[in-house]
Amino acid sequence: MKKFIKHFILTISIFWAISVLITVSIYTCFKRDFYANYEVNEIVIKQDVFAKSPAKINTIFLGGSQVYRQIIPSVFDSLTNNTSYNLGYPGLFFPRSYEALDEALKTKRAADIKNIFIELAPPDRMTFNYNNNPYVYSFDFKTYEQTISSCTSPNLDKKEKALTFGFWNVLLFYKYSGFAVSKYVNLLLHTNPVAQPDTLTETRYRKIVANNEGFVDLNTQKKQLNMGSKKIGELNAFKEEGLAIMKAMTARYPSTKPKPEKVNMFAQYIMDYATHLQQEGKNVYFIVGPRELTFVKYGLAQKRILVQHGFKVFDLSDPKLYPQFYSYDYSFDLLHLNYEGAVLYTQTIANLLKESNGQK
Amino acid sequence: MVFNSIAFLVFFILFFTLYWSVLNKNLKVQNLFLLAACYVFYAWVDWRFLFLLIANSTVNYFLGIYISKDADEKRRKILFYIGLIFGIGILLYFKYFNFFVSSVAGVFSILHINLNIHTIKILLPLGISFYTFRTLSYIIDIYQGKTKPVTDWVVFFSYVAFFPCVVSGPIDRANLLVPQLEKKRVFTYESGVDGIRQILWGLFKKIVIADTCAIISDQIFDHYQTLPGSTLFIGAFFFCVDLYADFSGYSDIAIGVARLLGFNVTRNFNYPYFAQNIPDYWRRWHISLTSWVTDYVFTPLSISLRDYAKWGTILAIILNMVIVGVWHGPNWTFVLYGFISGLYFIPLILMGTMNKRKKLDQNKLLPSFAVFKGILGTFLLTMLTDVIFRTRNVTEAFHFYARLFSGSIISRPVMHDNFYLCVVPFVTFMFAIEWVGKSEDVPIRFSKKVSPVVRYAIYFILFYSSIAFMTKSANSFIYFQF
Repeated sequence: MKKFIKHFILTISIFWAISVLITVSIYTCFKRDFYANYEVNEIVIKQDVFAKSPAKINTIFLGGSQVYRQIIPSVFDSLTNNTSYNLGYPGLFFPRSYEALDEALKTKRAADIKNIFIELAPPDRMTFNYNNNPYVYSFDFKTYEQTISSCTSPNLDKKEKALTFGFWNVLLFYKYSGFAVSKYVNLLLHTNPVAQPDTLTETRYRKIVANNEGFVDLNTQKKQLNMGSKKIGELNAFKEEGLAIMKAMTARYPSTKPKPEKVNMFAQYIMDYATHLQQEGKNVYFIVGPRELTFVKYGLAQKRILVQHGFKVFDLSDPKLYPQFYSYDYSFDLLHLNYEGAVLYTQTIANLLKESNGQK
Repeated sequence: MVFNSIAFLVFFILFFTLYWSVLNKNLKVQNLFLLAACYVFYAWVDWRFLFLLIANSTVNYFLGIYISKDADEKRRKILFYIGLIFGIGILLYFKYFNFFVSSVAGVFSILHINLNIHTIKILLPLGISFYTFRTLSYIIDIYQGKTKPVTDWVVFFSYVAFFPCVVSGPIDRANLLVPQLEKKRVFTYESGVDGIRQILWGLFKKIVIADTCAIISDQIFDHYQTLPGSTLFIGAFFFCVDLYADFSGYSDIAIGVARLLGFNVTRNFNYPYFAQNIPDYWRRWHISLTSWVTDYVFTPLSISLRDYAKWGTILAIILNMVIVGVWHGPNWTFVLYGFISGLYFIPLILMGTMNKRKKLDQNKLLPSFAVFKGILGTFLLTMLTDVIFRTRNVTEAFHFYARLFSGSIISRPVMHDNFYLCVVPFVTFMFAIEWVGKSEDVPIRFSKKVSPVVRYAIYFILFYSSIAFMTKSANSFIYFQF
């Protein structure tokens, strides 16, 4: 038995080591721009609509669902005399949010863009998505270092740290042990099995995105894209408990200042990115959104660092200053505002921008 | 729990460690632990089915003892029939009730008689066809005095629920597995290595061959109405390979896992696509099922029909093959599949060459033209029959055939994508390895003539490609549904 186990472990170890070597070689030798091949359809559609828009867009918004569902470009434009576009999407956090920004800046539109709003949030926790194409393709050792470095923040909950640490390590193992190689081989040889796309839904989505400059509120999506019954069930449950939840959320808002933290690799990446954009003549504004307390805590800590380094941060998270964003009447669900709330949210951002620019 | 999942890997590592270390000292404790593991494995999918498995084991355990003990022939016969009715009844109820009801209603509706009967919602217990056949053979063998009853309930329950084989076979007979459960198992280095080889080969066939061929064949079968005959031919080919790699892959893993636990279970496949005629094919395909049906259906039937000479044999074969077909599921496609498979035997029976065994020359690297012709012909026949296996109903099968044999069969195939380019080299690799290693039950148990470098290079290809093609959600095996 001992001999068998010894040989078995030895063979597996050698095989695994060779697997890692081959895998790393393939990734290194065949570096390609796979963005359009792996990104979620909706994000690609949003980017496509942005690139083809007849309007001269000079402002873009980047971030997760709070940006996507709560920032209305038409409202923003009417107040600030800009032409804006919402590039947000649910779960679009670091590193994919910055990749989406890279893509947007590759288009012909790049030169027109003057203002970039970026939502502050911890790195993506990508729960159980470790083998999804967007994560696998974009992941590299640098991303790994940056995401893991965010776990050193004293302002991130233990659970968040564990999730972030766990899943990015699972992805590291998954990708570099060879499990993802067939994805790359299929892409390189153009042998990916073609999914049968639901073209009707895609066409509808493209129309909604084009009509609303990238903003899609939840009511519209529910009605027009036939959102599943599960989501509707959740919404009904929210109706019953919404008031109590809002009250508890307000009470739990961080009363003390975030703990001081060092500039880790993740924060450094954000600052370097923003500096680079500024050097290209673009104004960068960061947003700390309300409600999601984990994000709020982390966002406040990041805000502190960014402000110290001279960046502009619009903090909309404080329930004392902005009680409307914690109001049940303006809620769609636990984390998102309804359309009326989104109008208020956009107006607030527009006013903060005007204030920041010394306008009335 | 499926073999190609992380859950099974963790389960098996824990089980293997305890099984051979702490629990190896006491056979009873080891068997009890094995039984517990069998039930955990089985209940993983749906714990409710476990009760039926335990009930089946309990009834057959007591019936086995009473049939054997009772001196009164009449009572023995009654007990035997109770066992048969119980086993077949369970199978009929859970698997065929709705099929029977809807078929009867369908027949009457042709005669414009509305029976107004309804089907009921019945969940099909996992592996019911496999463990029911196991207990049925046990009861028949005891009644016929071919085997002794198992008095140790832990041994018997472990035999019925033996986890490597419970959900998808092989269907082992009691006289093979029970003696191995009754004596102390010894782990040997050779059997361990052999087990690992067989698991590796099985995983490769399942993950790299079956799951990828399924992508291509699914695309083609799902859109067959719009595709030319040449593409349907490719679809039929890939489904044929998928079916074989899926099921034989599972069997290989099951046999390998059993071997790691110190058990030898029935070989289920003997390179069926190298068969040179149809009887040869069925001697190599799903061996544990075909030998079961041969022993308990065909032999008694052909004896009772012997007065009708060749026509009796033909009738027995067709009935036999229809049972093999229907065993796969409650659908007329499986009846037709069995019936057509039975028809293939007729020319050979009439020519008196059915039992003529054609052996492959193990020393020749390439087959002679005659052998190649036999292999190709048999493969094409089985490939065409497998179309019925894949289609959802008989009408769809005929429509598929109509398009397949239309003039478009000589047109250029239309493929959605180039994915097949990735799959074809692996399919070729699989058949090449099987051809070279056809003298062994595991083709990668290479002889000493093969240098270690080549051997380990092949092992590495199997290992690495299995990793590369593995998807997050482990794909279920086709034969789980039976």
